[in-house]
Amino acid sequence: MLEGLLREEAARLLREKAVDVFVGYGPGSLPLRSTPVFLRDPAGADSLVLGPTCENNLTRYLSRFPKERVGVVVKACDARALVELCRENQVDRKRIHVVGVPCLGVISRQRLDQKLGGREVTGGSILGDQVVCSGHGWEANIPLAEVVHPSCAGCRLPQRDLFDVFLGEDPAKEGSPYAEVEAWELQDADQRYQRFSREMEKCLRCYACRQACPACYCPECFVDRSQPAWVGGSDDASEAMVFHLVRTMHVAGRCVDCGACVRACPQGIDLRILTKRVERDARALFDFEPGLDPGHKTLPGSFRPDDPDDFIK
Amino acid sequence: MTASSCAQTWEPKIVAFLCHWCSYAGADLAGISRLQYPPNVRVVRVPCSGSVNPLYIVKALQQGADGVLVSGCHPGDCHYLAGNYVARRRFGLLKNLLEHVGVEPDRVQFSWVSAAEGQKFSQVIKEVTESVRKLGPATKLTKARRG
Amino acid sequence: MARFIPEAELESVLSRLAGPYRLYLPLLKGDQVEFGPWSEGERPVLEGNAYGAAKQLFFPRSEILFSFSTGPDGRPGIDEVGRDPRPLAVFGIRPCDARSVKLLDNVFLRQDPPDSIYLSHRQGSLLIGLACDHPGRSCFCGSLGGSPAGTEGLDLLLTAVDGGFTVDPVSEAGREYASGEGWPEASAAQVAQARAAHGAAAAQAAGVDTSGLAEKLERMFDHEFWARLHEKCLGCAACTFFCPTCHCFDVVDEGKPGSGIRLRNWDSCMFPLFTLHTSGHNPRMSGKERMRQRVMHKFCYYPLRFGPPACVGCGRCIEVCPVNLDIRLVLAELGGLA
Repeated sequence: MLEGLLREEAARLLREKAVDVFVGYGPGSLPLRSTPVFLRDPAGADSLVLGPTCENNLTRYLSRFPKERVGVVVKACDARALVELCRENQVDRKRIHVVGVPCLGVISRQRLDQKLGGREVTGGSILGDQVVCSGHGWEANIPLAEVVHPSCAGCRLPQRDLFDVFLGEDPAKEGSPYAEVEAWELQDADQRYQRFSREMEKCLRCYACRQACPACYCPECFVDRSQPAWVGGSDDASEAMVFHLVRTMHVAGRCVDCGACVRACPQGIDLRILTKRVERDARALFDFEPGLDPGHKTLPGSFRPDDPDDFIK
Repeated sequence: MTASSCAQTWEPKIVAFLCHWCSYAGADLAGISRLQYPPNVRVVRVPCSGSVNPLYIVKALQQGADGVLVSGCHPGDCHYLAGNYVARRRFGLLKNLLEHVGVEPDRVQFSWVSAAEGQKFSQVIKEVTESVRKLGPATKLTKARRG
Repeated sequence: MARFIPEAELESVLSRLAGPYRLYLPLLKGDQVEFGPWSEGERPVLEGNAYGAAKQLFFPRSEILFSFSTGPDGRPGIDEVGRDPRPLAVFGIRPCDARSVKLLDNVFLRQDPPDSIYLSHRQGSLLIGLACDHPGRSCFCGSLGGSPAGTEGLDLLLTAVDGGFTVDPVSEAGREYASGEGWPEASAAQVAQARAAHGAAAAQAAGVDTSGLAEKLERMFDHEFWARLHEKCLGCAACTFFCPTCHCFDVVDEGKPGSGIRLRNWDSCMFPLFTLHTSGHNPRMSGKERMRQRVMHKFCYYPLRFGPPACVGCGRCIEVCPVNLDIRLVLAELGGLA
């Protein structure tokens, strides 16, 4: 039903030339996947899909259309990213037609694979709150809640005035957004460093995390600088550490925990271990929460005279 | 050189990013006042503590620094009005993040030292050097030496 | 003559290989199957394909070419890097990956002089392949001249049958190794079972018609297709890093005063830095040009130079793409264009 509403809305926007291009999700080529689509013709609106397979953050694409009017499908997490992009003047809100859609959480392919013990899924569909999947000689029904991406826990919708239209009602999400960080902190320093190292050793520096991240919009990333070359290209894990630690700092106060980086990572690196810590600190130390209030100043660009400084000699 | 003789001769290498307007001048004052402090710091003069990118700190550790100190003007005294306030937020987050991934808290330290505080500067350097010496050579975030 | 290795013998076969060879095989690492060095008692994973391509064994992600230093007399000197002199053996490599090694040979060895570092990995190497019984959901080797039981690039081809594996010698080196091992001849029933498995798998791995594509692409450099194609591409390098035939690299020096190393690292045509000139000009200024380059290199420039396309249809790029940009659909669309 929601898909129907979305298709109607997209077709109307394109037909009435309210937008030049409509960015949404179409069916993917693999089971339980969808893929970003860019529609310029109302006829294409019939192929739009919605649901837990819509794992990409489409606000990443908005800066690619500097002159056109763009209609875009946003889930709650994408909407938070859009709040930040507007605050930082990366998109012109007047050019964007924001179509908000409710979201039950998106599928974490990594979680699903683990659940299925690595068996290859050759067919899949979503039936209500169940993920129905099948492979060579097997079939399984898995509750969606067990395979939604960890970033979907405790997901919040920004202020309603961000949206031009909101289709349906966004369901409340349960769960602690800091569960993984809290579990992480139960380890001692050496265990933490060991696990951090193991994650970093997996990194191939394909930069899928950066490219999928709506906050990573720098025209030139510091890792791409060659004079000086801040980050070398070798497989030394310290290079990946420099990249990920500094990237985490660069997105501090701008990362809205959409989880796009983690879902994009082909190596299954849990980058949220880093970003969630900074997010929680920003909330605890500076009372700052990104992605909700467009009136806020940026976290790194603002201060209070009484910010904590007990760590400074 | 054997491991034990290496341990005996090891001296911590500390990179200190000092604000041009205060801490750097504080270091200068310590010098002309003939105040003693350990020769373990390598000073990098920066325009403001607010200009210290977290990248510089992480990179220093990666390239073999055993400790990093960033020192700027006292709150309210910034030559650029608010650079140190902005820096303070950033460093608070970075310090916690580094600890989060298992880096020893004393590897990266911060201080406010004014141009008039030669005494404090020498004291800070003594403290930082001793705390880093206690930690031993840095092994985390460091690049494996190859070639 | 096809031979037979009983399942129970596998361990001892591997252990004999591991002496004279550096033996690599697909192993379970965490959640993923990856090529790794064999050690006593380790069981290879013989279902599915390795997550990372086998190219990393011949063309590692990062490799020291040589090191250099200033000697005590102040003269610069170059030191070769010490390497394990034993040749490489890869057990359980899939036919698509074996074929990709053959395609890499064209690039690194069909030139004068050949690439000495690549050659050092490749010389005397023994590729013992395993035919696919269940091609994966992204497999399309049949569209590109390969097959789930293809032998190109292999020395020996194993096929899982009841109770073990049939062994088909492919190359002279493979034949020699097989006869040295003294494996018994496979029975007619075992051979028949293997042939039937080959046939069944081949039917599953076909898909797209790529005939005449190179010539067509040659005329398509300015086609409007490229502007549409790159729209959803995020510009990461996951596809190129997982591709078994992508072979672009960057050579850099790293060092400190007095000494250093020269490294060869994987690079990717999907990165803007790949083509950035010193002047600041970038001839491939946007994702459109970069995506076009990737498709053109694989399906036009490479085949015009060497014959086959530089794609073996392993499907890894399809699996790792964060936005599900499927090369099979790209090829199908290219095929349909006038």
